[in-house]
Amino acid sequence: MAFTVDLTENVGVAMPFDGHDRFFVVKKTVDFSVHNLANAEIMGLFAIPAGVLVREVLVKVITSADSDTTTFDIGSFTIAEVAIDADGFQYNQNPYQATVPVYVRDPAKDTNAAYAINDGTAGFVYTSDWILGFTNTDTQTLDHGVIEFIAVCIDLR
Amino acid sequence: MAFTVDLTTDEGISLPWSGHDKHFVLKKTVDFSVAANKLTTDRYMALFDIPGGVLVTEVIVKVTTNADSDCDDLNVGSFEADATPIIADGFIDGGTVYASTAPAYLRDPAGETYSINNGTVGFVRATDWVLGCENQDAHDLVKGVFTFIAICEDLRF
Repeated sequence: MAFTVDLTENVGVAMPFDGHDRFFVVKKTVDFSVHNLANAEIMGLFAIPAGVLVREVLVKVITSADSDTTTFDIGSFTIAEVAIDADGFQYNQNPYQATVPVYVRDPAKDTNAAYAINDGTAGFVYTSDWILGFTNTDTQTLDHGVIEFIAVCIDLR
Repeated sequence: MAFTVDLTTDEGISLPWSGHDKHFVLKKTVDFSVAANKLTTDRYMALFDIPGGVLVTEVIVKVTTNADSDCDDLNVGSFEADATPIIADGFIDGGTVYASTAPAYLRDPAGETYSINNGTVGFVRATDWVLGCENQDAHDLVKGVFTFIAICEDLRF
């Protein structure tokens, strides 16, 4: 048996080559006592180029939110700021943490978090530029807390 | 309490160390309208030689130009060097290469042997192998431009 078409050309044999160095992490720390976010308001965090796969978004809660503010979502939005999947990465997570600092992850898809590593699509890649954004889904204004947003990415371009 | 054996020797403290730069991406663009690249039913195309010890975690196909609408069933998987299938549809099974809107990213993150979800999260073995694709459609694959993207981790260091 033989391949009908063989395009290997020894590519891959001498790894790594020019495809290395495509994995990266983007981070941003937000002080919500400065950048208040009322209920259902959205914060744009990172402009993600087309062709970049965001595998996961982790949150490091450095300073806790107030105890009356306990839910947020993280997901994808178009450049026009229209939701693609507003809770694709993290759904209904809690910025109020009794012990800080702490990492908040949402690795499993339930009814939401469609981009989850487990049972989801293991990230999101799009053929147009998009925005990774944060939504305060709590009824109270998020006006306290320091949160670091960490996006684990692979550049497929 | 103390560790009975402590082999940490400070590794991990000052990341990255010798294990950095082992993540990489392989890419190859194939124009199936070129005579030499046409694939009839059940024919295989070799895309990348993968060394033993390299883990391919996912293969993504970017459909830049559509296949014909009557040819819409592509597998991506693993093969021996002599084109014998290991798991010919391990990464993508029955991929839709006639996208309604091209360009589009084609992924198969769940349900296949090597899938990130419910699978083995990629494929690695001790000996070299070939990453390839198969035209599983009853019609010849004679049109379309696809970029095959393999996300890899070199475990050999």
